[in-house]
Amino acid sequence: MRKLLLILTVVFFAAVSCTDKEYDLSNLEGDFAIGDAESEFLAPLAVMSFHAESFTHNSGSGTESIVDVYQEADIWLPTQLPNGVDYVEVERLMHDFAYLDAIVKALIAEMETSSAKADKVFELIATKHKAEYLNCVKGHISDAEYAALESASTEQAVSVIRSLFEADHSYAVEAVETICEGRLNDLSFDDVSYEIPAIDIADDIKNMIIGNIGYKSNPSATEQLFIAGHVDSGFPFDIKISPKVLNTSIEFKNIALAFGKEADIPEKRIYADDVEHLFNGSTAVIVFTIERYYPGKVEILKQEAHIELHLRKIGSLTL
Amino acid sequence: MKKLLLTIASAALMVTAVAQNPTTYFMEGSTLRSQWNPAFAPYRGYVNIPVIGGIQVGTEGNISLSSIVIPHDGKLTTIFDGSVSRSIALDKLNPENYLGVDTRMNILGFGAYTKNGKSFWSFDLGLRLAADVNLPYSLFEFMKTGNSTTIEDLQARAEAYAEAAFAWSWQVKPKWHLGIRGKVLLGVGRLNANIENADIHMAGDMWKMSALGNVSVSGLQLGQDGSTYTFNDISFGGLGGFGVGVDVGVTYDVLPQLQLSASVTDLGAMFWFKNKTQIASMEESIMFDGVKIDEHGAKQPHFDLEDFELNAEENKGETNMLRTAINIGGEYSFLQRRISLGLFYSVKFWETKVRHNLVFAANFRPLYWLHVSGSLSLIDNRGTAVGLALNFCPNKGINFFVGTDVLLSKVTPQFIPVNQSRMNVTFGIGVPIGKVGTRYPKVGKKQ
Repeated sequence: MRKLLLILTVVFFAAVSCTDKEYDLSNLEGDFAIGDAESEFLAPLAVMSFHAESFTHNSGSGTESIVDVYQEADIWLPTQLPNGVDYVEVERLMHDFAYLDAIVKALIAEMETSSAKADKVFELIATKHKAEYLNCVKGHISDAEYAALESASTEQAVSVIRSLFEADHSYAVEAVETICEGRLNDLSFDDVSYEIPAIDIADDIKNMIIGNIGYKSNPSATEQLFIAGHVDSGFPFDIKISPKVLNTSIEFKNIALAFGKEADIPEKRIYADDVEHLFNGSTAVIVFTIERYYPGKVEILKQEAHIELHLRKIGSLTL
Repeated sequence: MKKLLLTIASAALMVTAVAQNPTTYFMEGSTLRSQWNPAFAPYRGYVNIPVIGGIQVGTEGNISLSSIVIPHDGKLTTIFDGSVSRSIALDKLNPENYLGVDTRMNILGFGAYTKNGKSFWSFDLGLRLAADVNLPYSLFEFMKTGNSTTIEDLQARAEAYAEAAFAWSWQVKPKWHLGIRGKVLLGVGRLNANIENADIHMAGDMWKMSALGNVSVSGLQLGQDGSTYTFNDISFGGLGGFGVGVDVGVTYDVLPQLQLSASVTDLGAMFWFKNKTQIASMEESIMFDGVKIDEHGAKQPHFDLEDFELNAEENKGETNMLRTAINIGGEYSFLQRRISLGLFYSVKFWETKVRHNLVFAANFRPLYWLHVSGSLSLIDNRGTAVGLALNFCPNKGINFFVGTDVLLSKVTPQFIPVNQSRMNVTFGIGVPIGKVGTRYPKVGKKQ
């Protein structure tokens, strides 16, 4: 009887339906993902903020705050720049002596007509560059005058420097020019290095982003991950920014950023090795190349620049 | 994570595979027919074979296996596979996608006619497991597009209980039979989970996810970590509650060949004990907007989906209504009852949905002890199912019945319908004993 029932049951079910072997659930495979091959996901990565204190300038004789360097540059630069422009070309100051000389000459001319400008320059020399000034005028003034200037107070030194300049001694003018040239021909920023800590998101989220993008040596043809972003700056510079993350293929060169504007950081494809490095902690080095400086536009100290980086994934996020 | 999700998907598919089969409504000799309407009675008394005396497994819903599982690129995969395009994946889904499971297993059952041969009593002890989920389209849409969205009303409900029932069917007047079944229910376990609202925002400046929901569990013991519950160490917590229910039904023989029937089943409620119920709420939000770095160091938000925790709330008892159903049928017999045609309508009230079912049935009784029923079901004006049932009910030996409504449909090798969103399988073996009832004219004899 049992056999009969079994046969009846099997025959019943066999009769009532047909099997679709294509749907054999024992062969079920695949992954769980958010999105499909057409999907595009954006994910924030980091925002780096740069205050004026972040930047330094190494003149060879020591490291200075970039705020000090440019506040001093404002004194050295003539109020009216040659050719009627409102900026100085910082790179050109380094490599084009004629351009530098024209600016220095314009400063001297302004000092001759503006006692206020001249006094600022004299005071700057007396406070920061007296030794260099003495070195320039040595041999042109008596030893007693040299010794007196060397030991003079700032106020006294300003008075002496002013009198020598107003006496129209060529050596005194040249001394001012020499110091000015030395200060204006290198207004560069040192590279900025920031430590990016290990990113505190859960491993399953990290794995979801990395997904199947593949390593640099064996990248996926379909799933791709890009890093991109944008920069903004309130600093009075036209600037070129070249950020890179050490030990990864994340490197961008010469992203041009005009004063008060924003700029996009172009996309760069990255790989699982890069992302793992990023997520586990890394070092970002940013090279700032100053193209133009807009003197007197804003107070540098109060300004900030930002680099925002995000990821763009083409393809699904595998859970 | 992948393994967990595949397991859940597989479980959902199995659920799809595996309740009351409407084809059996007109199968008058079967012992489980009285579960449709307690006024019905079999031909003869019976004792069911324990456990296999009556098994009913079924699902109802509006998503089929082929809505979720598809052959793609030479492999069988789910629509959640990253290689499956959104257009293919979302093609067969509905604005609301729901699936309900109702499984009954008869542990012990017996019944007999009284001396007059007209009244019938029966006792059944069984297990019932019922579950349903509601999956909004926005959930699937998010899964396939990744677009920021708000998902609302993601619900899951399940309950299991043991049922001890005593039924009595009697003739109140000529042509009229009434039936009533009283049930005492012992709650084994219950889960009610509801995500009222989940906001997902994924953009280049910020990833933000927030969820508002609640979970209530009875009879099961969730793992507890301080003031939060987890599903990690779930265990059976003992008897979770009790309930009472009643089925009432009536049949009326309008003509010797025409019988009308109506019933209300599962009218009642479960009361889950306060000390066996855990209630939790979830109102969390996590956000990641990138690492903030400046010359003073770095600050970063913590972003982990495990931060969505179930915060323990004060326990309280819960009451929920049973899944009440209303069943109405009419059957006309001819050729000395060798053939009959039936029309059956049922409406079932789920926690999340109301389901309608209209069935046309043709019943063949070539022999007194052999019945075959075929049916065509119209489900919620949406789909159809063709069913077939076989009843083997001799006066001696065994009583055996089997029925399904996956007739003519494609099934997987695991016997899961591929394109049909509803499936019922009924199966049972019993031993006929005692007196033969007098309420059914013998097949083949003039009425």
